[in-house]
Amino acid sequence: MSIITQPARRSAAFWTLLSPGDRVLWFVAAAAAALVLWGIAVWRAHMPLWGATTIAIGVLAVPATMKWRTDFQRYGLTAVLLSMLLVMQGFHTLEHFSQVIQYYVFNNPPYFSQGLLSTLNNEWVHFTWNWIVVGFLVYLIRNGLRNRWAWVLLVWAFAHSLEHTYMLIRYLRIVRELSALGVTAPPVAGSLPGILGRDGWLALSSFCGRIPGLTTSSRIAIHFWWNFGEMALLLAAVWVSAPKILEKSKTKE
Amino acid sequence: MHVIPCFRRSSTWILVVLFVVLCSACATITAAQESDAAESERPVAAVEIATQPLTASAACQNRFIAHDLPHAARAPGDVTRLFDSNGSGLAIGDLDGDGYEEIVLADLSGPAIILWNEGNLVFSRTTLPQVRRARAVAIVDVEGDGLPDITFSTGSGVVRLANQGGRDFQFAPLSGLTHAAYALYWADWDGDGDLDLVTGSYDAERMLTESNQFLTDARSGVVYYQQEDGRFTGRVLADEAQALAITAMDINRDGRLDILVGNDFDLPDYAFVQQAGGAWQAQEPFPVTTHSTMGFDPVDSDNDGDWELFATDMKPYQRAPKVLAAWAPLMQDGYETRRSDDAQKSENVLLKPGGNGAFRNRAYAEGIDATGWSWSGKFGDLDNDGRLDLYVVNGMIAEDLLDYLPGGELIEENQALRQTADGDFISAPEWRLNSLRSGRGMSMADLDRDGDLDIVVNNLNTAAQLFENRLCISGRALLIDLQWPKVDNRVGIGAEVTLYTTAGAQKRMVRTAGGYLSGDPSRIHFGLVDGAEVIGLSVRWPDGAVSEIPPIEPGARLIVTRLN
Repeated sequence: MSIITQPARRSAAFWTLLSPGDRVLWFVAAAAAALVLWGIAVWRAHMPLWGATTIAIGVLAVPATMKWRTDFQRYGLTAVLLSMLLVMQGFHTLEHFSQVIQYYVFNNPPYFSQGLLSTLNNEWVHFTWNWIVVGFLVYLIRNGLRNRWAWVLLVWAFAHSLEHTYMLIRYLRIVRELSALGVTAPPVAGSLPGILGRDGWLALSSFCGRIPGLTTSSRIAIHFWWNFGEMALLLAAVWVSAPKILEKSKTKE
Repeated sequence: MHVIPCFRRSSTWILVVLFVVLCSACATITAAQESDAAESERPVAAVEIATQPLTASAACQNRFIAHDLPHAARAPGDVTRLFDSNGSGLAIGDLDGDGYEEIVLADLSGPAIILWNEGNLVFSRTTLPQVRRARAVAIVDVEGDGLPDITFSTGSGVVRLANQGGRDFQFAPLSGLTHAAYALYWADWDGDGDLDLVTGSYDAERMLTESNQFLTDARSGVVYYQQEDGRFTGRVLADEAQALAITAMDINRDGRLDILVGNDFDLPDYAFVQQAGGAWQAQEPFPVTTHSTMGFDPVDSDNDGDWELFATDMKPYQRAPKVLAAWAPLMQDGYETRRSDDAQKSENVLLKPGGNGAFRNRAYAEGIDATGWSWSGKFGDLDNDGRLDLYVVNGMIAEDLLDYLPGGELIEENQALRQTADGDFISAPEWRLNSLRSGRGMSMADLDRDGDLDIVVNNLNTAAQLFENRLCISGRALLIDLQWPKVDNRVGIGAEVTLYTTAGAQKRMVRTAGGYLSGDPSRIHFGLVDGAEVIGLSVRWPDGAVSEIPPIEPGARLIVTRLN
């Protein structure tokens, strides 16, 4: 009988996926360099926010890639994909959180509330990213991430991706109409609401009327909550299944 | 031993709380009694009632029938540009005293006209060559001689055609008017029995036509003109304005009419609240307003007895990609510049007062926030069910703004929204009010006196339209004309009329204008749901006096004449 308790096992496995492992110094150095470069890029070189953030992410990607390479050798593909999903979805949620701050705290206009990687805030990127998440989840569930949180997460991520599919289709149709008028699609065309939110499909459908929050929130708020929910469910799912996934990879060895 | 002091402390607090509660209760009861006393102390105005039966309706077809009117307001030149694109208004009122209401239509490229209502929706046309490039129209008896005059704004000032009787009108300048006027509103703000005037300039257009900041600034702004013995004395309330709409409404429920000015573009709307002694104080009573305010309609849309303010703005009413593509370049500016805490919203607003007097915007919740590029929007009980419906005319033509659209025109369907029993507004395409013409001025009146409201729209670059109400409605109606021959404000502009029925109460205000640049008839229309009986009618005259009128049989025109 193991003397290690279940929470302790879960905690250890969870942090194995997220911790820098034996590359703490690399991460600290990369984080410091990323911060300095980001500051120089923004304040000295007057680069746009998205450019500076891309540089910072590029710097952090070096130790992250090293860690995932080691994890792959130690724990296998499933664990690495899980770790990558945690980090990338975490950053994605942070990106949406920064949009909320820009819009609701700094009161920026929507055009200037596009997060840290504003150029990537377009319908194609959202569509692609969300279906990638669904693909990751299907793979992970088939390979051990199997608990009730994971199933809820899959449904949530699928619904989120459906909304982005709806938005992309509408965006492309608007672009086509604009082209017919001889107009290049202005950025606002890519910021229109989807199924949920203020002026969204649900709000204008006659069958349900106006539901506070679901049909009244801005697109920025709605997609923050989509991603916040996705991240929370992912953390819960990983917390429960991480020990099993890591042990499974050891067993394979 | 420690229990007793603690208990003593608690009981002291309980006593204090009880005392405070008791005092509050007493204060509330006293205030309520005073309020009741004030209500009961209102002077009673004796009235005389005359009734006329309504005419029989034409065969119903469950829709409105569109008739072209012999008038098309056109922008000057071959191409329509800003701000000719804003078009012109119209007014409805009984000019010859025969009981049928006439239509006055303004134009930018030609003269204004009068369509004399000969009954049965037959009209004869009179051209008014003295009036050109007219914007707003209002029918009011300016000097109180019992003959309603016609006033027009022209962008640079106000023109009056004085009614000489016998369908004859003579040009008669209004003495004392100094400033440019685009929007105008007549009411007895100072309560002295004659009509005062508020005008607002539209500085964007003036800058374009005058191309001179000095000239533009000199006569810009919002001016309150107080009438005294036929002469007007102006008081400038604001030095700049982009006024497309002005209305009168008692915002703070103190019994005095206040002034609301709806401004286009970024300039916030103005609210001037009347103080004791006739002073005006600029206030911001609304948490949100429209951004490019095009029209106002003070209304009690939910029949709760409180005045609300409906204002129109621009927002697509459909989400179809084709529609949004036409709007996308227009929405780009707001996407780049409008902050999340901006109190100005690019959509219609319906500002309803709460119990504490604070206003809340309910337009989105009730589904009336998006009606296209909306100009005139007005409530009226179009189907005589005791609930007010909404009609909004829309569309835009401007080659210099909408150069990516064929003919520079944003073609939209006018929006008719029927109010349901639960207070929501739903689209009513079956009424066939969804004209594709570019509507600007619009007003509602029972032109054939058959008990239902017809609608007249002054379109831009196409013929004006009369929408004859041929809905198959079982409800009945009451038309009410107020007369107050002892004062110059002869039709009781500003009076509030409340109809009490077994199905609830409804309230209307006698006013001179509403929506965008449009004069409204002083005749009030009430629709009554089938089976409802009239319990009584109450008139609160502009001086605060009240007349209570006993139950009357609906299906009639009621002429209420105040005797004192």
